[in-house]
Amino acid sequence: MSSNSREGYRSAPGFGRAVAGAAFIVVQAAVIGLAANAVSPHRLSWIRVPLSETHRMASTHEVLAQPQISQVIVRPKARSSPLAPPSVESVIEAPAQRKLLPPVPERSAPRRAKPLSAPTPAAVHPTPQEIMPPAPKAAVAPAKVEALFTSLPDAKTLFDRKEAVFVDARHSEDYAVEHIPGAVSLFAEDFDAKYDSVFGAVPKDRPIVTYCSDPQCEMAVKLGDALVAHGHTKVFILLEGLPGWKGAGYPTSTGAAP
Amino acid sequence: MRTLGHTPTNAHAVTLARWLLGIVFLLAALGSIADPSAFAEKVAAYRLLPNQLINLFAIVLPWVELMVGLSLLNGLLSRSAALLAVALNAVFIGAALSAIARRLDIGCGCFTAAESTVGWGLIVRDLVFLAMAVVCYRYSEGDVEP
Repeated sequence: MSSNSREGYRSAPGFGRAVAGAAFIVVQAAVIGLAANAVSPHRLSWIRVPLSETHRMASTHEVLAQPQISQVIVRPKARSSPLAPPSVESVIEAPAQRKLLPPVPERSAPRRAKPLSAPTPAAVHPTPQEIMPPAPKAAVAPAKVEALFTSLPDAKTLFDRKEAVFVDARHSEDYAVEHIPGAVSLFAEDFDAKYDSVFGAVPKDRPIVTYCSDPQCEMAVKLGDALVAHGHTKVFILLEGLPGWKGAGYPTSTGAAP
Repeated sequence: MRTLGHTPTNAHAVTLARWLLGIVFLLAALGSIADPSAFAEKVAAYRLLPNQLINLFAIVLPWVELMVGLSLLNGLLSRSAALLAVALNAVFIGAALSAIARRLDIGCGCFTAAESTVGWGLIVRDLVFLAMAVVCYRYSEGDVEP
């Protein structure tokens, strides 16, 4: 082997030079990254919203007592039966809408309202629908279904009444150490893989309370959002988590998930 | 005594390590760039950065990884890129150790596909990447005499 190949590597350029090159790469990346973010459809704001401000706080009692206000999608035309139970796909007529619309004769009910801007010559007596201005969209607009923060007392009430499914979003090992009695274990990172086995038989309109380790833990929020995305309409997030639950003197259990 | 960089065979090994590391950084970067919001959540889950810096970090870091990956692959500024790779891997290991010490159950935020949770397996993997980055920095081909 030639001496040249044995000395094939020069002494490395100075550390300072490498640092300068690294700084150049970082600055270049920052400029490109911020520019790309500015034009990206998935643009991220520079300042992150605190976790406690990502969802609304709501009284579970009010939400469960008046589901049409914030939890159930309102679709007046789709109701199949007045006796149909409320659910995600069912319809609940908004009270405000009933006040706005006058009684409609039975024979005219199936007719569709014609646009006022295009009257036909044959129209002699307009129907009540044609006289009435269209109902404000706010009365029939679909309410946004979202996960909501809930307070410890409200969560405890749901717990006492056995109305809700409590979901522990922490790792199953932590669940085994301690959890809210009756809670199911679903580590938020495993949501997609385990959703069917855990929530396959849970009605979409059954209240669900998610929790994890503390108010900075995002797992409960992530799990709550994922449940809403899967069609669950009454999802509550107990942001205080298990420490808050214990601190309030509420009961806990131990043991692995069945 | 022979040292690592003094034979052509080992030079090839260094090149291979540089390419592998480049690919790793590219894959990590592309997943994060595709979904910056999810990556920001992963960063926030470590609870190491103040809230005001999380999104900025999540916006810039994937592009730094992308530039490092490209530089390692094409050889331009490869020593500087390797130095950055060393620093980044050291930061990742520190963050993972911190998460383990605080018993945080979080995803590592490393790759979009085959996402793993923070644990000792992740530490070992990052240590391998760190060793590769050190080798690339110390014996970078970019310093070979023409």
